[in-house]
Amino acid sequence: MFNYTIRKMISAVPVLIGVTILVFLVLHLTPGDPARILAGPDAYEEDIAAIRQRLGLNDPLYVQYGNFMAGLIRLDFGRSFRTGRPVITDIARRFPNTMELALVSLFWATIVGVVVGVYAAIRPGSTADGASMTAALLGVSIPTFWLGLILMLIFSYYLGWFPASGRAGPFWTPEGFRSIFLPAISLGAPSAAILARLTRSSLLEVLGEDYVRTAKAKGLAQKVVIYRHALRNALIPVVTITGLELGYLMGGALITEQVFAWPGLGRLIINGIYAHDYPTVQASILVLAGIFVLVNLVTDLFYAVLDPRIKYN
Amino acid sequence: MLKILSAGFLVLLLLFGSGQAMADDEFIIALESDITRMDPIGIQDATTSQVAFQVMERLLARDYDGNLVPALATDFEPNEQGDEWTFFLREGVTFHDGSTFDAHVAKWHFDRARGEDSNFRGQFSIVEDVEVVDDYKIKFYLERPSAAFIDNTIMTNAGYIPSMQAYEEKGEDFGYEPVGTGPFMWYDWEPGEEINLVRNDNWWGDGPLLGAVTYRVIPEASTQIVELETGGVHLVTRGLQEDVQRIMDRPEFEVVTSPAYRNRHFLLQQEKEPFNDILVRQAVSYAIDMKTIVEILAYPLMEPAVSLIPDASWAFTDDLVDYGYDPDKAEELLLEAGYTRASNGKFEKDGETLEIEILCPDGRYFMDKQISEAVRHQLVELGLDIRITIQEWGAFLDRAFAGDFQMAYLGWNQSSPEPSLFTDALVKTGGRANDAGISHEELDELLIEAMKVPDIEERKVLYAEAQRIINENAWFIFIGNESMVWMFPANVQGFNPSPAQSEDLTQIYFSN
Repeated sequence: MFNYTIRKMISAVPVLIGVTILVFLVLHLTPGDPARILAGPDAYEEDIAAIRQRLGLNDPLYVQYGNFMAGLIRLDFGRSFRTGRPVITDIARRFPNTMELALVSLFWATIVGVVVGVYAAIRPGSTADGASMTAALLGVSIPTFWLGLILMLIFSYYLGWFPASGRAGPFWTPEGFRSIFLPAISLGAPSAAILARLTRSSLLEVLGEDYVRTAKAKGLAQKVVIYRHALRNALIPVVTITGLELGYLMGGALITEQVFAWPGLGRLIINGIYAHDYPTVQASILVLAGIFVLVNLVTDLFYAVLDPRIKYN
Repeated sequence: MLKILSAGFLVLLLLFGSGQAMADDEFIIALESDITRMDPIGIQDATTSQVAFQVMERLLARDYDGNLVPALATDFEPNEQGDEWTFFLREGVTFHDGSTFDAHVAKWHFDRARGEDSNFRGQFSIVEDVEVVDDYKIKFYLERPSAAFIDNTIMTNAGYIPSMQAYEEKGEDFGYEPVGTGPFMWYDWEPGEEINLVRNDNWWGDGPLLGAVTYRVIPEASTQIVELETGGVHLVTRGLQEDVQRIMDRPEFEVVTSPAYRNRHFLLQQEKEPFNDILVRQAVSYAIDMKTIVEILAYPLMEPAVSLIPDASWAFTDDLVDYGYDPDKAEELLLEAGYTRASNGKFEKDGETLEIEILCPDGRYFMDKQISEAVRHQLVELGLDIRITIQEWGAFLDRAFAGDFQMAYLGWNQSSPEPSLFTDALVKTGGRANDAGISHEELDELLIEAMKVPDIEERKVLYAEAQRIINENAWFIFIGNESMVWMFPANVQGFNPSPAQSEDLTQIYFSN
């Protein structure tokens, strides 16, 4: 297991280097001069030129990339063009907020998704099955920003139960819970829907296996057959998708964070893209890519826990 | 199962259902984006300037009508030629860190503003030297006379004067923990979330009455409005047209609008086909019913404009060529320019249809895309082929500054009624935002003369003539002057906003 983990981590390095090259090129080849954007449309040319020089934007691309990579090796992500602060400071402040939002969203999405999926699978063709799968279809189809605005309208504007925006503290505090509730529901809804549909189809497939029929023939109770024998096997693809969903949720939090003014990495990236703040965007996306790779690794390792036949040597 | 989930949800609501605490004398303002760095010589964005205005002060301020009023200077005096400006500084003013404001601090600051680390060297390049005459008198020596010296330098973001002691003590952190003389003191900043200021009890002026001011960063306009309506913030300064109109109809809120020094226009590229022909420029101007478009799409957040100089400026005149909506006149001018109607109804010349690209930014200006679309519709009705290209701000700026357009949706914001801030940048030969390469000898002479004349009445006459030349040449199709809007609960008293600067919060209090 240890060797496997090390091998996987080493193999992630070229992936991350590829990400840095890709992001660097996309940012630098996108039209728009960061110095001009920073200085504003009414700036004097000499001031724009001075800013450009100060930010190192007159250097050839390969020199700029080399400087960025040399900084990375020293864990120095550079300074934000906009704020002048070290990018690592901004990321360290914003990343936990995005992680918190993604984890809370995934938490409720997994519970609701698996429960609804199991509920639908053991009553295939019933009204409850149809209703839950229709709801799941809606969950997948509704755009996150639209759902966010509708939730805000109902629960903040009309009912006044939750604040419309902002983060009021960690989610385990009363204010923090109230502030994360709507963004988490909005962000997690598509994941819950995907997991519900996946759990249902996976469990239905497993319930048709020979060993389940054997268990039933032995006279085991329905609950024991489903929860002890069938569900465990049915959950393997669900775990895979759940792991991937965490990555998607962190990346997808961009829009939710914008709508709910959640102070996370997504908004940092959006503002960075608008301002052509290269260091901020490069470093933030690299962090997100790193998390994605890490989550995939943990998911792989988790298979062995669920299915003892899977071994990593 | 559903019952269990519902019950759990209700329990959570009961457990966590308490409201957010808010101090009685805390005033909360919604900000569109986070601030950047509060070192005055590097402040480039409106949001940072808005917050800096509460913490730091300039030598002078503006009242509601845009007139200069004393701030850190009690008076000022130019010499006869207008190339030496003396400022008499207020005595007994201390910075929030206890250090004293005097002429030495002011000189240190303005030397920084002219120095290598400054983003305002262009503006301050006119200053040859800054001299401390005595502890409370400072003199600026200019390389040439300038009637607009104060607006071009003192009233810019680099005009905010911070504490020299704080600069020496804080080093790198100076720009993130600003220390000024303003009515509110810096308390803390949660990047991306909020900025907290507290009352400066030692402020030299009258007030402030509030105990604290909090700026909450809320990027979405619709979210800001919901927060206003649910009590999460007390002041919102932007909104969609329908939201603003809805809030106006609600008695529990006040909506104040004021035309600002923010001109919006289509700039016609007079160096390229087809707008190198004045007849085509005039024809297009007549073909657009801009007054109606603006009234339908942008009221009350924009008012129709007829000149480059905003209506709110003392130099504005409406004694100008009237390009009212007149499609017949437009057609007549195109025919005079040598175009003919083809069988498909389009105008053409030498077998080529008259095609125009409208370059428009992606939501940078209020309703820019919608107004461009309405204009396209009217020009197509006239018989022109119109294509709209919408570009992200960075890419848009690249093309605009390179003059790579035929017709571009542009805006020009200033925080001052000084007309030269508009004319010298946009239409003077070599002006820093003269993106269409406009060069007109008589106009240049008028603008140069207007900067030498200290008397405002004489300047008015010169700028009126300048505006007439600008309109006759039809380099611009004026869209409107964007208004400033302030929306707040009706129990907020003492709010007296100015179109010339950020919000004066010193007299605000809650009536119950």
